[in-house]
Amino acid sequence: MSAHGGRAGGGAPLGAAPPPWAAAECRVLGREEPAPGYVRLLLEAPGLAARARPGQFLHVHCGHGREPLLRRPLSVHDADPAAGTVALLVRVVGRGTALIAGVAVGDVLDVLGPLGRGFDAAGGGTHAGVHASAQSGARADAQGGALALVAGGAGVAPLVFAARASAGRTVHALVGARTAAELVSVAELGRWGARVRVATDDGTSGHHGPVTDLLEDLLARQGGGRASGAVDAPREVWACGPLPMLRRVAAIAGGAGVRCLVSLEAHMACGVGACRGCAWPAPGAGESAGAGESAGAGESAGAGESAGAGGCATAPSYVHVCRDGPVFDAREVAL
Amino acid sequence: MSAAGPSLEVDIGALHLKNPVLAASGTAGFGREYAHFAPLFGAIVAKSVTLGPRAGNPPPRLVETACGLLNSIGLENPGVEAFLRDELPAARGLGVPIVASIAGETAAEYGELARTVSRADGVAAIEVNISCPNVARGGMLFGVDPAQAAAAVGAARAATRLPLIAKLTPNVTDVCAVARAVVDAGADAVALINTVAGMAIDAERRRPVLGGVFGGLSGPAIKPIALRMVWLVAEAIDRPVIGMGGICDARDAVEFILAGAAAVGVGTATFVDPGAAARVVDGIRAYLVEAGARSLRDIIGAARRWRDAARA
Repeated sequence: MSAHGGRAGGGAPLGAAPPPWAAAECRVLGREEPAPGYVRLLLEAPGLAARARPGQFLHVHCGHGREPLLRRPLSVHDADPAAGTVALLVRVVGRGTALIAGVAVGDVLDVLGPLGRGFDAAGGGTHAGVHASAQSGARADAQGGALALVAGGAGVAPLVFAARASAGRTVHALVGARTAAELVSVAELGRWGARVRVATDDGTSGHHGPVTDLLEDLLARQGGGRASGAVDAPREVWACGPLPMLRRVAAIAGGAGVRCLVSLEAHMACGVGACRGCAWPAPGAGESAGAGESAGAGESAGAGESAGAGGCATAPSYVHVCRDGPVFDAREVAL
Repeated sequence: MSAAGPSLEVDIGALHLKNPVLAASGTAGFGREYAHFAPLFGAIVAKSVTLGPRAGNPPPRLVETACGLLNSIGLENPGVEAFLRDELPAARGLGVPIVASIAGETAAEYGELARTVSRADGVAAIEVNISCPNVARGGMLFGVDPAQAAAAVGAARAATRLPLIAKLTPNVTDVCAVARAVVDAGADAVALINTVAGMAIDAERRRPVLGGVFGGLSGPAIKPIALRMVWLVAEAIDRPVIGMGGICDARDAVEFILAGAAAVGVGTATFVDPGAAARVVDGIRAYLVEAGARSLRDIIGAARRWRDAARA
């Protein structure tokens, strides 16, 4: 665990503890376009590289003016503490991400981070009182058993770092994209020892169909889940991608009795838990309050916050993507 | 602060500030979200609290607009008791005055909230939020009517000796009438503006974007609106005015002070740059040095005096 594993909220005493996140000016060391609409940035960021955990995000300033106004949350794509570098995978979907992706080598990016709860912290019981019921289930040993990573489109961004951090485990990486040209990071996942399978919507590479087919197949073939004794059987699934994909992944994993962590994205203002803007409905609450309309997809792989606003059994209740997440146990959120 | 440098100190009623830059309510959580930036503020106005917990409005709650941010948070908060128990002790340790912000659904609730907050240690002042545009009951409904505004502030006044700051909405015909009413009801200062009511529509899906349908606009887009209202209110009342609305840098802040604000609030800019307030403080100091002013007080309302001189 990081020495800065604590978070800014959640009831932890402040005292003289070092800040869990910081503002940083990061020089761009490398820039490449791995696929149309995707830009991979390598940043000089020793502090971030040392502290970031897989699934956390950086809140990145777009350009240098007031338009667009807000930062964009971007998952930490990779972090190399030895090299002191952090990578971002930017999918250009709007003006903000275009400005970020448009930087040149030698430019400086203004970032806040690392922010949020990552894959290894999700469902860890640090939010007692906010959604305690969602955490009553079994908690997997983070080092135990094989792991399945499921990526859809730009959702592959945090999973490369996850694969690096899980290099000692058996890792199955299932990567989906619309078409072969938009498959990114397959080689990086393989470099960390992951057994990679790909799926494309148009059949131009790998399985012709949704990536969730690969997960179903994997869990069926390997007999994943608690009951299985197979060495390679996934004991947990970490997923990032479009909301319909996450719903399907959660259903498949749930059906197999496998722990499922999902990384959500939402529009954010502060990114640090102050504004309460990135609310996401908790399970069984807020259906009438528009739970099905909540996927206000941000421009990028996003991020969470604990408002401590739970505790009222009848009212809708929300978690916050920037500080409670962006990675949640699938049972903690209404998908 | 160098002993030889200009003084940035200012008093808002009995609330003494080391510098005139406040964190606007709702933009710094309860303080600890920005713990390592908090000591740089003159004061932190905490997120508004209500008697009971509020989950807030359904998402989406945020829409980025041209140079602005439209929000429909809906006063999400854990309730006043949880605020005092779980948030205030940590906030008190930040080394900066904490202003509690209260939002009631009735005038009596404002009184109860003021009384409850006053019992706690470490609350330096109370902001009476009569201007939230994102709730069905209370909030802005008080702030758009001078009599209702006075009722809310009067109820709080009867319940506390702490300095009272009335937070005003721009969504009115005559902001000065509301300002005069709250001063008559016992407000020690007014803060303005809260967000400007607005909305966004998704053309593809043909429906409002925000879960709460309407929202409140903040950020640089609203600065000219705020500046005018601060100018008007500073003339209309003889109490300190805390000016806010789109302040991003020291130049913005100085403009509000020249219009008559004794202090300023930084809000949305903090989301973009947590160090924005610190840069504003430094920039105000630099402005005073360049202007040869010994104190912030020397320039409060200076632009209005210029107009008066031109008239004479």
